[in-house]
Amino acid sequence: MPLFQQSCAPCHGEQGDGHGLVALDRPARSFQTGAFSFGNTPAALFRTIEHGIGGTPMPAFAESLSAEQIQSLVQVVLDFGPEVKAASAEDAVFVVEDRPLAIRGTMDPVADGCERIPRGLLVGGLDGLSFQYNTEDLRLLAVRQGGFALRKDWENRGGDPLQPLGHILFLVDGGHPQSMWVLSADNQTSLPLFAQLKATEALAEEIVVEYDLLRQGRPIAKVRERGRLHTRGGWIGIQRHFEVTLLESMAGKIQLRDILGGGHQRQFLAHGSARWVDIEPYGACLIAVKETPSSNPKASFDVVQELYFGQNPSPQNLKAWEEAE
Amino acid sequence: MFRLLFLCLLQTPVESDYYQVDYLQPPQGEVLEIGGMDFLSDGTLLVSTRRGRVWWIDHALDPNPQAAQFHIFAEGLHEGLGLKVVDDQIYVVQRGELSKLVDLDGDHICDRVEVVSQAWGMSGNYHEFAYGLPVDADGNFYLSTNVGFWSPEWWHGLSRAPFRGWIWKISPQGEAEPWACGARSPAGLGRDAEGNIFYTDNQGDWMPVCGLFPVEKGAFYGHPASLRWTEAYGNGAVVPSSTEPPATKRTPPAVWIPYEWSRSTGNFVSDLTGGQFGPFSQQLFLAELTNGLVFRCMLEEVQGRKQGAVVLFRQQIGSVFRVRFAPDGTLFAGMTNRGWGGYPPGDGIARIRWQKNVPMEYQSVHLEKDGFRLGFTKPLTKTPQVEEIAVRDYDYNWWWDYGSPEMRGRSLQVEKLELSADGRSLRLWIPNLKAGRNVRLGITGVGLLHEELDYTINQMPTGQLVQASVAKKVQPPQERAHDEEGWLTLTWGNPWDAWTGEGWQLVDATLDPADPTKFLLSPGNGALVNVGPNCKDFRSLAEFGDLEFRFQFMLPEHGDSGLYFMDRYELQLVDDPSACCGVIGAKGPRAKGYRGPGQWHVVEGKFFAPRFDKEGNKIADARFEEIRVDGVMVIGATTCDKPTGGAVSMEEVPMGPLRFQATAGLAAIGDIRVRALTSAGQEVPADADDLAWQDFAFDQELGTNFELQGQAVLSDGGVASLDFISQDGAGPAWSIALNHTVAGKARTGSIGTHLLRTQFLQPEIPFTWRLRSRQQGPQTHLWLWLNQILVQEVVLDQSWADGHVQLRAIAPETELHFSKMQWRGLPSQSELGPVQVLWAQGDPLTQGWAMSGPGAFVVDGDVLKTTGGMGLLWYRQRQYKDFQLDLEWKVERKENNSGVFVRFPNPGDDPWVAVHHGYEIQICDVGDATHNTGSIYSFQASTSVPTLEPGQWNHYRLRVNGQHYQVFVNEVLVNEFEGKRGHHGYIGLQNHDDTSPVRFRNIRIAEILP
Repeated sequence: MPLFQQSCAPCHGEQGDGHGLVALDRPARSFQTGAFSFGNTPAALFRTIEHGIGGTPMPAFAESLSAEQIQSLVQVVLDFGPEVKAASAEDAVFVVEDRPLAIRGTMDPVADGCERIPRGLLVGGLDGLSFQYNTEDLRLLAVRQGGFALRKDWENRGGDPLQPLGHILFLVDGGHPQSMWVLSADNQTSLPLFAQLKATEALAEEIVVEYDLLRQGRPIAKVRERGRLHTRGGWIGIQRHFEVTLLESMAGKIQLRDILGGGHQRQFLAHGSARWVDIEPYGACLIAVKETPSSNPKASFDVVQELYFGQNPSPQNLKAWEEAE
Repeated sequence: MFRLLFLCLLQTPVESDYYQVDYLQPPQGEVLEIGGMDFLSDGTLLVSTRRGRVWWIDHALDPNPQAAQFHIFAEGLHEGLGLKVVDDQIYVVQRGELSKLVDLDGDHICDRVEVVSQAWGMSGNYHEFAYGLPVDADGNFYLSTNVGFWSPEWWHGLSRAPFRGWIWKISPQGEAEPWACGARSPAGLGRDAEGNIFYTDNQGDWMPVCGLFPVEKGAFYGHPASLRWTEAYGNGAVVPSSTEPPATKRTPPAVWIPYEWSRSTGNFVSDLTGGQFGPFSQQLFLAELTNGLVFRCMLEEVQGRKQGAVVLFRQQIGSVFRVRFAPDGTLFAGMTNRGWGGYPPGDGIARIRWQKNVPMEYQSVHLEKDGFRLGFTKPLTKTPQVEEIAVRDYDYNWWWDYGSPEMRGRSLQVEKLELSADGRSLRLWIPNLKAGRNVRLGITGVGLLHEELDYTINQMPTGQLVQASVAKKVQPPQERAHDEEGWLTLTWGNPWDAWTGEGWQLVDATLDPADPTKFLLSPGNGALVNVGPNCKDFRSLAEFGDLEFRFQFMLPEHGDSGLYFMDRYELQLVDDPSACCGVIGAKGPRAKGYRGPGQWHVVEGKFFAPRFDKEGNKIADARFEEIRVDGVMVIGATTCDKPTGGAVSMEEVPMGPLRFQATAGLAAIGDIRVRALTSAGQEVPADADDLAWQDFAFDQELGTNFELQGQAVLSDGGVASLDFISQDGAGPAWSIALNHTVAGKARTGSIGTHLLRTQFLQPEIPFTWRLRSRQQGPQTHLWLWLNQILVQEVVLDQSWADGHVQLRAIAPETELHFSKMQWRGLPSQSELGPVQVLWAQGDPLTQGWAMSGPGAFVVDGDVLKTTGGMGLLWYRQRQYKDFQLDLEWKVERKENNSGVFVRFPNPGDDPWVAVHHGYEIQICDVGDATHNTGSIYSFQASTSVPTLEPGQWNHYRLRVNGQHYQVFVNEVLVNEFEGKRGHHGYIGLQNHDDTSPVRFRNIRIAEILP
């Protein structure tokens, strides 16, 4: 292509082998090895040709070549080099098959108006549910079903976000979740607790997410959390199970925060801590939270949270639900 | 006789004689992009990859590389650019987490990933890698964090999250301390034989080349972005400048690594194999990704700090990023180059094994106060001669531009040498060694496998400690100037690589005061002078077609040379102002640019190569344009109808070298730069964006100024063409080939004999295409885009009045679908007639102009100045219809008011006729919207006012075509207006009032031909 001959070949050689005829203080890049200072992705090459590399003999061509001309040179340059082995679409899609998976990665904002998540965690169990967390202060962001993850950071230089697949069943607090746990001194004050990820662990069918709850930078409790699909009385929902171990005795009670946050209409029922809530866009939603004291009531306890969406909150249905296991 | 024969058969030893490389075979289809490697105590190899997997590899040490067995130990990690085994516990550094991988049930699959630390900040930028993972004597981990890069100034690394660009120290319990800063891309860490931690950084902004830095608490390594998180910068409050060097004291590297050896250094290991890897015990081996090799580093302690030498070791391995010694003394090399490219293979694991024979190599390097003491692995075959030892030193710039060339080089001499009795130790005496320099030393003729070493002198072994670093603080580079873009500097660095020219010397030259026909020469690099005996012409090795050029020259008295473009057309350089910088045989200089002997001149201009048709017949002569000497135009334009005297050949060609004549007389030339002009001097016409696309049908008559676009899909094995059939032609006038897959036939995008080299379309996958056809005189110019990439630009030597396109299938069973086809006609390019000078100098009233209304225009040389007003100086000779008017104006103050009137009828005595019936293009920088410079006065505002400061000349160009008015101020389009007034009229200039002296000059007009 005449454009390459005139603009590039004098330094980079007619064969793109770096043996051009122009004197340079450092050897011109050989396109045949396929290695580049700023990366060998098409976008990176476009920028390099457009802006040059300051401090080196590589000039900028933004003023003398059109964007289309630069784009065509990018292709010519890449053609000289070895084939780039790209991760195929199949390679990069993760599916949970016979073992639950925990995947860490950067993730895009979970909804409009939310922030990118540099340290994200996606865990998937054999039941096809996946739970997405932000791990910098561990919080559940969303629950999905129907697909697991696409590793987009297996392209280019890495660093692209991991993409959760499937559709969102439940988005916590519209994408801005509050702390999952609070310390209640009395029924009025509740102090949000910072959750620090400590481990992810594979059980037979799901992943356990283990974290410490911190107060003023000090761990006061350890939590092991897992979630799965759950049916009860013909209803299908999500059951989250928390094993909480206190690390020190304290005044006040560690409580799981209401997953729906504040500001929602709710109706309390005379069934322990189960309640119906009307929330957009899920419609009616039953949340039940049950604390099960463990063998050592002072030092640890279990919490089970169940979420059922779009169910009919009639008394008979509720009774059926309650009576089922 | 027998022995002689044997010696003749000996070959020069090569690296593979001593170190053999083989490659493990991962499972079919698996790509292992290695980020970390280490061994369990039982010899199991664990590798972490950029795909977040950890592979468990059994039998990795088996002599047969295919015996290794791989399975996935862990996955789902976020990269994994470092792996370390401590007491058979597995640790990995992920992008965001230092993790411990635990197998709870002993099935060799990781069940539990524990967080040791997530202490460092991340903004989510794609370049925020984390690397690791050496461990110190107390069990602390060390990892490093990359800075990030963002558009638009993506060459400046930034630290936008806490402690990026830092080295971290993390205890096994997870207590993390930011330890040292100033890193840019700290891609590798390791331990030397004594257990000291070092890291490697990669060339880029603030890093002249790759280097190996000692990790010390509180150190600063040179890249300012990470200083943000120090107390001095408010612990994050203050962002350090990306362009100004900070005052913070820098910790130098133990070694800077020559750029030609390593461009992307990975990690390193020290040889603690106890001799299993050859004669380099305790030395360091470093990974190099781009060049695909491992190199070696010998450190020594000088004045309490480590410094030393690097030397090549084993090349042609693959893109090595990580190295690790195995328990049996094999050096494992893990490879990856995704996203950067590098020497293939770009993934996988290589094993480097010593063949138990000793290569002839440098074994040690010690700096003395007056030279070096070199140790060798074996006795030298002979005592080297002083001439066989090349020594030079140099340093680098520490600045924000990408890397630094070797700077301020000096040639050094070996004064004397002494080889020890056992032949293994060579003492060299080299005067003038100094601190703050890198020394490159090479010994030929003694059988060294790697002849060169490079030693970093941070300090001399005795005497006072020196403050100067090898990487010197220099003036920050200029902002990248627009007019530097696209220029190739043909005399950067060593000019000899770009030119041939026996007898020319690179020197500094001035006129000899004793004899002005000669130069006085001194060492330097300011000029190339043809002083040597038997000097030959200085000819570029590269060839050029159309180009812009810029060079400098100086002549002595009677000096004589010339620059031949394409080796054929001479621009004369001679000590004679009436001839210097003229084009021989065409035109002499019209103004005196040459100022005399002994003075440097800058020459600039444009050269256009002759044009040829398909048969090779010349259809346009070579020509020069706008040749200026020190800014003074000496030749506006001239053509050369044939090569000038002294040409290499009278045959004319499309491209050729540049040549400076050596044999006519003495000359000094320098700073030669060229910029190739694109598209054979023509530009792709801008899209006529306001022209709408219409749906297209194949019987559409198209003419030859049109564009077509659409989508298409072609089957595998399909061969077809898109043909243009002219109205009076039998067969296709031209054809575009459509063939993705069939070999031996022209491929998609080829037009006639213009075959398309770049192939990137796939069968069965839709692609977009666009075709533009323009008639230019007797030629047709075609452009073809595929998937928005311009792939063809072709000039055919015929044009056709009218025609249509059709598709033609060529191979049987071709399936070709064209859809979404659209077309639009393009206006034929407006051609300008000859330029008429309306006024250049002298009294305008005697040259066809008339004054209407009060005031006058005063002549001062080639400048007209307004006085009084409001009046109108108008060109009464004739009216103009469609035209391009060019003139220059200058004001004294921004408030000065004037204007250019067009298309008004005869105003007689009344300047208001022009106001009411023509259009005024205003001159006044402080007017409100429709009344400031560039606006169509009272009708439409200019979009900007890019005038220069008062006192400087500005340029107006007005293009008036039909009712379409375009106004350019200093080449910026500031107004496009649809008029409603007359279609033709007179041209005039306004004098506004006594307080508004405005000056005009160079008033020219060219009509737009229909």
